[in-house]
Amino acid sequence: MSREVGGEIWVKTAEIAALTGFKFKPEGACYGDVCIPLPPVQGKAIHGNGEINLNAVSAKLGQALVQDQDVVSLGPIASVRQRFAEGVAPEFDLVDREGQPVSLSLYADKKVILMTWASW
Amino acid sequence: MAEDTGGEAAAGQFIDAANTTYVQVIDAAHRISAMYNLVNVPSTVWIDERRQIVRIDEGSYAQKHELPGISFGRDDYVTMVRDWVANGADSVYAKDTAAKQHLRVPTDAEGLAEANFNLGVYFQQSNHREKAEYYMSEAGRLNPDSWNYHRQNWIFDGEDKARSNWQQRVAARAGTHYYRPIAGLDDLG
Repeated sequence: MSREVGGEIWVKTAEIAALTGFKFKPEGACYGDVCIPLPPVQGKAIHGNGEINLNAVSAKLGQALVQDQDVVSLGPIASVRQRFAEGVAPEFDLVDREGQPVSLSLYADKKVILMTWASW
Repeated sequence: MAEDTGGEAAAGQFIDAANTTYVQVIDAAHRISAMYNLVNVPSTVWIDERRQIVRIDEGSYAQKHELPGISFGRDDYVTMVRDWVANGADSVYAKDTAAKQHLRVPTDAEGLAEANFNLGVYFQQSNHREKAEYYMSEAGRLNPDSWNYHRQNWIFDGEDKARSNWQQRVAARAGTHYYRPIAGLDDLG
């Protein structure tokens, strides 16, 4: 659920937290033990009362935002990809064709060959 | 990992035919390519027991392919994988630091491309073809290195047109690599 105020999108923090893995705390947007402060922009709070200003927060996180009417798509957050840049394989949570979860952590302590292909 | 926005309908028959013993996943939103910074298929990531990436983003074909204006793959890729499985960090193929050069955070343009592509996937899956094509085209324009974006978008054109699109793009990028260039790769093995 979202609402638009003055051309900016406000969404429920619980929903965006579930989508991004970020938790919104008084100290800011937190991912694991790293928190990014979210101070007011031009005197206006950008999160509070269970909502966040998606435009302002995504800009703060360096995250691309593309909107088509009521559909919004967010790009990656650079700080979340930082561990990948340091050579750590990112965890993923997908499902196989039977709906069973497939994640990298299922193969802990094993070598993994992760291969992409496509029908096209 | 099938990077197929068409999901089961697009990829399922190939998985059935291959009848593999290893895990198969249909990654309709191309999440793995995004998270692992992969620009084409087939592409492979070697991940060791400590979750460290050993090799990444290279055309993992079983043999070398020579086509007009383009060549990719190598004949000894399976040998390389087997050597690493047997020897781990002592494998010569695990020591190629050049193979890790694609370990980086996305640029702003690549991030914007990813957001556009995801919107394209959403619209394809909700049967809005024009919007799907528009956002996938935007993704390809913003991240021209990603053959994944171009080739996925060409499914809307049909197989014959997709093939000529591919040939035209190969010709236009003559002299460049089909995958991202990996300096020093040819010195190995």
